[in-house]
Amino acid sequence: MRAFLTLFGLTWGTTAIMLMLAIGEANKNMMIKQMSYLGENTVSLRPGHTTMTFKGLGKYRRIKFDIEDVDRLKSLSCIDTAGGQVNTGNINMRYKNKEAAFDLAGIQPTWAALRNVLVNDDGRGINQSDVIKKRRVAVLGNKIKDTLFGKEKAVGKNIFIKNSPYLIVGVLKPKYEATFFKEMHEDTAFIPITTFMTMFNYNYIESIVYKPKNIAENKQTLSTVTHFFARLKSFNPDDKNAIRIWDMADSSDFINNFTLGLQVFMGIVGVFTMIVAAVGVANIMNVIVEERTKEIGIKMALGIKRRAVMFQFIFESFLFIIIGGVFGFIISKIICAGLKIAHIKGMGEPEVTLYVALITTIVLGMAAFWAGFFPAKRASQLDPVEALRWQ
Amino acid sequence: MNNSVIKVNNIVKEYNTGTVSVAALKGVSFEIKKGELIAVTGRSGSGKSTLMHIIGCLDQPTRGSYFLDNIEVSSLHPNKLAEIRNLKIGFVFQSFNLLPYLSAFGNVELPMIFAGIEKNKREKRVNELLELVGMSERALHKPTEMSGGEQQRIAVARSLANNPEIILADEPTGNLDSKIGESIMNLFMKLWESGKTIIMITHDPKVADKCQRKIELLDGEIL
Ligand SMILES: Nc1ncnc2c1ncn2[C@@H]1O[C@H](COP(=O)(O)OP(=O)(O)O)[C@@H](O)[C@H]1O
Ligand SMILES: [Mg+2]
Repeated sequence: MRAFLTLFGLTWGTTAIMLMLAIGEANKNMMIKQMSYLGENTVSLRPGHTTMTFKGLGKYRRIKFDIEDVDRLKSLSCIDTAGGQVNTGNINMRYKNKEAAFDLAGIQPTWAALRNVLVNDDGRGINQSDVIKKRRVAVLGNKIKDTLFGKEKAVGKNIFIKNSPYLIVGVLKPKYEATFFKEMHEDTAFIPITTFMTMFNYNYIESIVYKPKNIAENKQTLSTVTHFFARLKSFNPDDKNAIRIWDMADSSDFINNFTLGLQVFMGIVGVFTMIVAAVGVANIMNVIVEERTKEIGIKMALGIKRRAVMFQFIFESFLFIIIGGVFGFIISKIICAGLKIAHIKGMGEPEVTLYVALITTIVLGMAAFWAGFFPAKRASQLDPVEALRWQ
Repeated sequence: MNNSVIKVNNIVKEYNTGTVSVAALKGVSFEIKKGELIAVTGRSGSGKSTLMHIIGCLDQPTRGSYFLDNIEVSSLHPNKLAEIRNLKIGFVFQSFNLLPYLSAFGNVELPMIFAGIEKNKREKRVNELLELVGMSERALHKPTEMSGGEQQRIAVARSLANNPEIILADEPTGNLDSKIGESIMNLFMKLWESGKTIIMITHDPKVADKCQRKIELLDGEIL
């Protein structure tokens, strides 16, 4: 009974550690994957409004970006490339008798590149000549394609966006489900930024994303950019609200730390479970040593060495823990497989990776050694005569 | 040189039981020569087992010296003592002390495992010994499936595993009825004739009479 409970504890402890590490890993991988859709090491700028007076200009002035600002930004020596975007929601789109409302974005090809907007092989993305010629071409998010076309091929067909016909030139690759980041493009249709601005009579754009030439000098670049726009738009460069910045490099740091924190926390819970289980094993081993005192005495009379006695008991506690560990391993595998099928949002795909197995093995090994060592030592140092007398 | 296998000199053994210390042996001296058959007799509590434990290197005397094959034993490391028990001494106990989860074969094999003898040599030797004690047919039986006399035969076979010079037997017939005890005694006589040094604790005068020499203890002293 005691053995059973301890085995159960060990199994549970192992499962806890493995699952926690696995889920932590999965979470991190998922977030990194999502990050990469947004484009690694890119910085996104959105105009805001001033909250500081500057050279006689008042607070609460709206700052605006126009399409030329993208080219101005590109011309800075510290900028690799930049792209602009403008968007709006709830736009009616229709193909034959099917219609529904989706998001619409006007983009520059550079923006699509920086945001890893990937188009299926049978089509193409929005290109520079589309922008220059203000063509009525569209790239559909895969959800829009599924809704309006189902299994039917979409590329080459015409759809109506706000009652104007557009030629579909491409469909987005399906993406990871959006959880942390809203800015996923499954239900967005992309058209050239110029077409968009004409259609909606916009003079300004929504946001600019850029990639610095030197990632290592991300911070300096950001400062240069801020000062550049501060001069251009006449605001105080220290005014944090004039332009709102989302730095992806910062975000990856955040994700790494967050995941590490999560893993450390879950790992600690698992380790504590393990400690409790290990104490259980140590307890059992102590009881076993006591029950076997007579046997140890007999073996000592027959000339067994102390080291061999120690080895015997450490070996037995290892056996215990290995059995518990194997059970835990199997259960973890099953649960991971189950979670994969269930596909819970925001969890990613937990898997018993080599890394997870390795850490668990190390923890288990230490627990086994610790649980076995002291009882084994006690057994090996029994007095032969006392041990023989034991009943 | 000296042809005594065992030489004890003024051995004292005291047990500390809380505040008072009890002397189980109060200065015992004797020598035993190679090939002797010795009976150690005396009332219960006279210190016979204590003496045997010291001779068998299971215990150390509080004072006094003990030479085994001219080596002072009380100064040796526990590992060395284990080696002596393994190779030079064979124990036979009153209550047999076989390991219940091992077969007769496994019990006899055990001292050879501790000695690091390889498997095929062990098997050969175990079979010889089971033959010697007349237990070949019971090789695969567990102790619980055997009578007391049979268990003691296995214990004798086990004591011979590493071919020790000395056999120490603590009332080996004490738990057996007289007829079976006699057959065990005959086994010991056979071993003695083959040249073993045998020290046997006994209550039974008939057993003691078969021995060459008696060492009689009374309250921790030799009479
Ligand atoms: N571990 C011990 N602690 C205290 N007293 C002991 C211990 N072992 C033996 N004695 C005492 O030593 C004396 C001799 O015991 P023992 O050698 O077993 O006698 P025998 O074998 O002749 O019956 C007895 O009085 C016994 O109570
Ligand atoms: Mg006794």
